[in-house]
Amino acid sequence: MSDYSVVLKDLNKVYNNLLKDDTVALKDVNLEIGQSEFISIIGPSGCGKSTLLKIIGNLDKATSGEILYKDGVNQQLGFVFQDSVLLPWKNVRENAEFPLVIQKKQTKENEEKLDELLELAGLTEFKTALPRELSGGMKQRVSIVRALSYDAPLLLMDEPFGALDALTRDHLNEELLKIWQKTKKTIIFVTHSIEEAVFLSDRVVVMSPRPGRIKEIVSIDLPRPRGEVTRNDPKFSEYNKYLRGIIG
Amino acid sequence: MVYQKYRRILLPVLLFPILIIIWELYIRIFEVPNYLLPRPLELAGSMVDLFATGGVGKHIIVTMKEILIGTVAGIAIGLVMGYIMAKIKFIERLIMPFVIIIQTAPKISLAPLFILWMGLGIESKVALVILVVSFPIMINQVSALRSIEENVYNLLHVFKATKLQIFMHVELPYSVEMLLSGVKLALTQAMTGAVIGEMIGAKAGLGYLLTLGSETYDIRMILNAVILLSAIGLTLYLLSEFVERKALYWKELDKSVIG
Repeated sequence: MSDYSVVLKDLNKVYNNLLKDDTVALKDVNLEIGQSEFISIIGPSGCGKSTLLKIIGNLDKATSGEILYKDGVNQQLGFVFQDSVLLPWKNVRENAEFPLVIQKKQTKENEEKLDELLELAGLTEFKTALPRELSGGMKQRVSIVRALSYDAPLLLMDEPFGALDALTRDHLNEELLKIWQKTKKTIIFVTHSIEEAVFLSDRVVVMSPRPGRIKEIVSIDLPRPRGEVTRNDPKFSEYNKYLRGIIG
Repeated sequence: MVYQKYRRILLPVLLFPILIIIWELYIRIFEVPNYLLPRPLELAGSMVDLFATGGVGKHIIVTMKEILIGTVAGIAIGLVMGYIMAKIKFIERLIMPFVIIIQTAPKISLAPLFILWMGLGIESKVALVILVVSFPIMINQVSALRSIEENVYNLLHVFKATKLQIFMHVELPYSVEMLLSGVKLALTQAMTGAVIGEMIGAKAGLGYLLTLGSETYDIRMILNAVILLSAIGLTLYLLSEFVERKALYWKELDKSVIG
């Protein structure tokens, strides 16, 4: 337990219903996530994967159990939602800069880092564009840069590319990997796409629905850096097939 | 080219003299007596007289004062009440039924009451305008705050923002959006409130001129008051639309009917 980023211990989440039986959203979830690890959580809808991510992100409370963060209770983390949640009156750069404003960290160094991140995400030319002028993929890039701007070591992503078309999604997956390798973040990535999970992750956590529990954790042993070659790798299809089998 | 660019202004401007000519012809052909409808030139002359003798300025100022003071105070009250209602469910449950009861009654019907309570001066009209303005603003404010997505709050929570920061950076800008579209509507209603208040009981104001004109069978005075009121209404509308355009640069605005 030396190099962990987040440890989940016996997490349970129960919703109390007045008239029906209680809904168990999460049951006995135990997971240790290493530093700079890219871990994906997949499972059918209703398996509690988004709830789990929200609990890790401190946006929801577990009914019982414990979460240990590397930096303690005040762990800084970034969160990317399925919709980009950009503020419509701020332009691209202002949106990405927003967390720095909130946390009063607009130092010269951070501003320069932000510009580098925007460059890395291919947004340099669009710095002054307003959200309404951007495509869905572009908005999500801004949202990712925003989550990275204040240099939180832990990045939580809740189906960030779920609303995008397949081509854009593949493209953004590759870019996300580049950013991950450069910034060495720990990423917890919720998705319902098996291919996406295999392509991105070190490990894939498979969850089963009602009650939501961890069914299996699969280590993805594909060489990095990954790219077009990875998708054509026979091992890539094997992992997909295997995971599809577990999820059923 | 010039026509294409300016036709929104050009066409109405061209229509205006035609209407005046039709008006003049109508009076000549059907020999309408001037106590029913004055000739355009006669009306224009009386308007110039009104301004020249200086009497009308006072009335315009009184009406404008009522509209502006009432609107500003009404907006402030509406915003504060809306914020409280949106944030505290208990208060909303407590007052909402009463709000709806007052809302469904034509607010203008309260004008005689206000005049009885506060007299013929400017206060009763300002109170009426406040009443008319604050309700739509309040309702708009509640729905503005309600329409903010949960994930926006989640995002701010992840950034570890304080309550004040959430208000300043998210709730306030979102309210301004709804507020501005509310103000445009409120201004029109504010004018109705002020004028009707004046017609029921006042010592000055354009609404007072309307009543005076009708009691003394002075058609020119009535028409002049109406023209002045339209001019004020149009000015306020264009002004608020201009502000809206500037403030909501980030939004694609609907094309409005005027302006």
